[in-house]
Amino acid sequence: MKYVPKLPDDSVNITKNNPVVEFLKMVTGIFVITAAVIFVISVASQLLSPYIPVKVEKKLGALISAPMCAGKMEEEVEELETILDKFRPFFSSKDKRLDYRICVLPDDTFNAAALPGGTIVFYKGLLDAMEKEEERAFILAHELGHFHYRDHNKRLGSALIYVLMATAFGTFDSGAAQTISAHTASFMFNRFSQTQEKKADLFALQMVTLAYGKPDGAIKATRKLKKFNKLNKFRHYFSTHPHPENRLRYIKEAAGL
Amino acid sequence: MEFIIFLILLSTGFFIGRMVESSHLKNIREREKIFANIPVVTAKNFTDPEKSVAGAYMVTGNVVVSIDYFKRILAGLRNIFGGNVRSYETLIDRGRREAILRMKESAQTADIILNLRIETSSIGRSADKKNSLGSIEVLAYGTAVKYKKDPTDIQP
Repeated sequence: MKYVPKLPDDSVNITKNNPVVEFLKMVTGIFVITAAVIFVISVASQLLSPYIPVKVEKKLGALISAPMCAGKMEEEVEELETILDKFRPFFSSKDKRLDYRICVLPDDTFNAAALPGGTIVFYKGLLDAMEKEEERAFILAHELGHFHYRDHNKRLGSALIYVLMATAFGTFDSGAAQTISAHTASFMFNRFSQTQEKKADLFALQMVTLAYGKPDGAIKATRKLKKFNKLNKFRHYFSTHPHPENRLRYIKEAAGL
Repeated sequence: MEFIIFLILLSTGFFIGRMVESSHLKNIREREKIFANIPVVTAKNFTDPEKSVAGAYMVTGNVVVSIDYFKRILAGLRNIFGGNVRSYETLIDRGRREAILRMKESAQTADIILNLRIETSSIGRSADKKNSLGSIEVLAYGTAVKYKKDPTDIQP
């Protein structure tokens, strides 16, 4: 038998396909799956959130807010409670179901939040920027708007979906799948959140106008938000809140200015 | 920011990984031509009545190859949808061919390599993780046989 040198055939062991096309197909697949799941569960959480009993909501809220708010900045809290009392005559039956509690945290963060159970958290950073009472009133009314539309409950549902998706894709040990689904989820939640923020802004405008007889607080506070804004319009597209310029525009339109 | 880093790593992995892979495959093809004259078989015994064995010794060729970030991500995504993991196919192919070549390089005076065996193991940080592969070690080993040129020729 004569040995005939033969080179290995390198065409049989490797599947011939374009890796970029393969990558794009799978990324699109994950995007579609994530988007579909988030859409379905978001709609479900929208429909179910009004049925979460106030008792359950309060228990959940206590878990989050109790360790966060204990004995912080009582002086500022008193001032904000006076503003809250000005809104009370205009509360609908929906707004009266919760016992609102205000808490101010000694932190430079430029934010405020509505926690389940009726706790409104203000950060000192935002309070310092909103010097006038009517400006603070707008921020407070904005958070009341979130309670009015039960956004805090819907967000709890969203957070749950987020964790579930991350866990589901995490079981495949694919960092990419987790990254893609996390960014898809974050993008969808943020777009959804911008709608909620707009509704809360318009609710706040209505409350400020009713309590103070003019919409000035809403306009001034939004101008301040614009002044302290650090993100450009493109980055705001992916943010939880609309761009302050847009907020100012629709608030002015709604106020007839 | 995290997403931008991910995209940078992905594109760097794709372009540099592609360059490294094609240059490695080119190098493998060239060396395969050079060493094509040394036959390698999986048979344990090879008897040729016209030849007698002067010496036999074990030869090994060992290589550790890794895949780029892009392929690692691609393989991770394949875990979800299933199907051929193309990114690992090229890794295994390159590893196997390189290990055999290294084995041949260590047996340049041999007339034939018998009983070729190939073993692989996963090494590196991901070695102990299920469904994860970072680097593979491919070990090729066999028995190099040198035939007698004349009856008095005996080699260790």
